[in-house]
Parts: sequence; C-alpha cells; structure tokens
Amino acid sequence: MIEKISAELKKIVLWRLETIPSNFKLSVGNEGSFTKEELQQHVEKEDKIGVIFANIQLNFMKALASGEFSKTLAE
Amino acid sequence: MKAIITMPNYDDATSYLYCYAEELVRFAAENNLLLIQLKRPRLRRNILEESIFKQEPQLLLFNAHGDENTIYGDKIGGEAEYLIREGENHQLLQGKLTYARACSAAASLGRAATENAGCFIGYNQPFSFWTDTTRTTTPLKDKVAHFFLQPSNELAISLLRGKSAREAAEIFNNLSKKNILHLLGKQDEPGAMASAMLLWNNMMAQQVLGDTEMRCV
Repeated sequence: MIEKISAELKKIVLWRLETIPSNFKLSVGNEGSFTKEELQQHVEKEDKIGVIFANIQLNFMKALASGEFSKTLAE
Repeated sequence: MKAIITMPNYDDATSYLYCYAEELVRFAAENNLLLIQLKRPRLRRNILEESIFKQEPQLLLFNAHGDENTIYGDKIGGEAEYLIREGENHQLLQGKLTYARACSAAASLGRAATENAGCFIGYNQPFSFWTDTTRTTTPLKDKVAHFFLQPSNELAISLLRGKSAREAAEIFNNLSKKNILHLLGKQDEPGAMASAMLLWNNMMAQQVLGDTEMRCV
C-alpha cells in the first residue's frame, strides 16, 4: 500500500480516469462518493482519496502484469 | 435461524446498501427466516446490543460504513454512531457468524472479534463500487452498481440458506469473476475496465476470519 503517488503513477491514474464515463461515480465507504472530475482533483492533490484510488489502480496493474489476475480468473 | 440486519440510509453509499438489504429482507420473509431489521429510528447501538443479548441471533449482517476498528450504524446529530468497535464491544460478535458489507473492518476488528470463536467475513480495504449518476434515486435499476452489489447480496443469501462462511465467500468470488469476465468481453464499452478493476479490488480485499466452516442452521 503506497502512501504517496509517484509522478509516473499519477500520469497513469489520470489517464485511466480520462476513460471513465462522466456518469460514473465512485463510492468509497465513509469517505464519500466521487465523480470523475472530483477523483482527478484528489489524485492531483495526492490526498487520502487520491492515494486510495491510485492504490486500487496500482494493485490491479500489478495483478495484470504478474499473471495473478489471469490465474485467478482461470481457477 | 435467527439473524439481525442493519440498514442505515443517509448518503449515496448507504442508500444503495439499504435497497440491496431490502432484497435480503424479502428473501428471508419468503423463506420464513427470522431476520430482525434495524433501521432508523431503531438503528442504535444500545438497541443492537440488547437485540444480540436477548434474541441470541446466529447471524449478523451489517450494511454499513466502516473502518479498520469499527462498524457504523445511523448518522445521529450529524455524526455516524458506532455499532461495534474494537476494544469497546467487539466481544458481542464472538461466537457469531458475521458478514460486514463495510469498508476495512476485516483488517483489525474482524480478527479481534473471532479470537476465541465465531467467523467474520469482511473486507480489509475499502469496499468500493461505481454507481451511475442517472440512477441514484433507483439503486436497484443501476446496472453499474449491480456488478458489485449482486455478488455481496448472494453471499448474504448463501449464509441465510445455511451455507458455510467458506462456501458463501466462494459464491461471492465466483460471481465477481463472472462479472469481470462479462466486462472483459465488453472492453470497448466505456467504464468496463474501471468496473473490472474495482471488482478485482473487492475480491482481493475479502477475508474470511475465524471458523470458516461455520454455518447457521
């Protein structure tokens, strides 16, 4: 679990956010619900919500790259 | 079987959980199961504690906000009231089968609650889901949120049916995988990969702590 967003990861996360439809809203428990634009701001600011979202993205990319994602789906 | 379900409803996330919890209430009614509903104004810590003592439910279904040490209930005077908190009253969960559809409570509270007996199914990270802003007033018609909340509802239904915690968790994982595969087949559809990513995150965050073979009969 990262606590800061690197410049490279920030670029990737912001690019991924561009592909999310504008009618999508992310619900993150008691942190609240966030539109795409709000998520972009949180990632830019690297605050708690931004870090949570970056971690979700990073963990997913790691699972894709390591093969864990494919392996789990195949099981 | 006797069970308790908590049903807060005061913001976007809890309104979705509330509507999906109503499906569980319907299932219990159709199957003659005693499911005690705690919703406003009865969704209070003292009432939950009293209900656990007096009714001795085997199964506890929490729909809630949460954090590593806490499961919350209703918002009282602008602040969420805790229902269960590690170090305060977590012993209430000992010996029970608990499913916390809540953020992060499996990270620490779930471990403390199952130290001696019982089982706790929950998440060690935030339980997150996408919603469709055009459907927020009709959560059950929100097809985006359905990908996330249907697997967790089926987990709860499996527990109500008397499946073991391990079996119920497997049902959650299998349905999440099925939804991911469905989304991967629609990669060109906007948001499909973002949804697959969150489903994966919830799957990886799910924990079954304590006696994984525990079931309610």
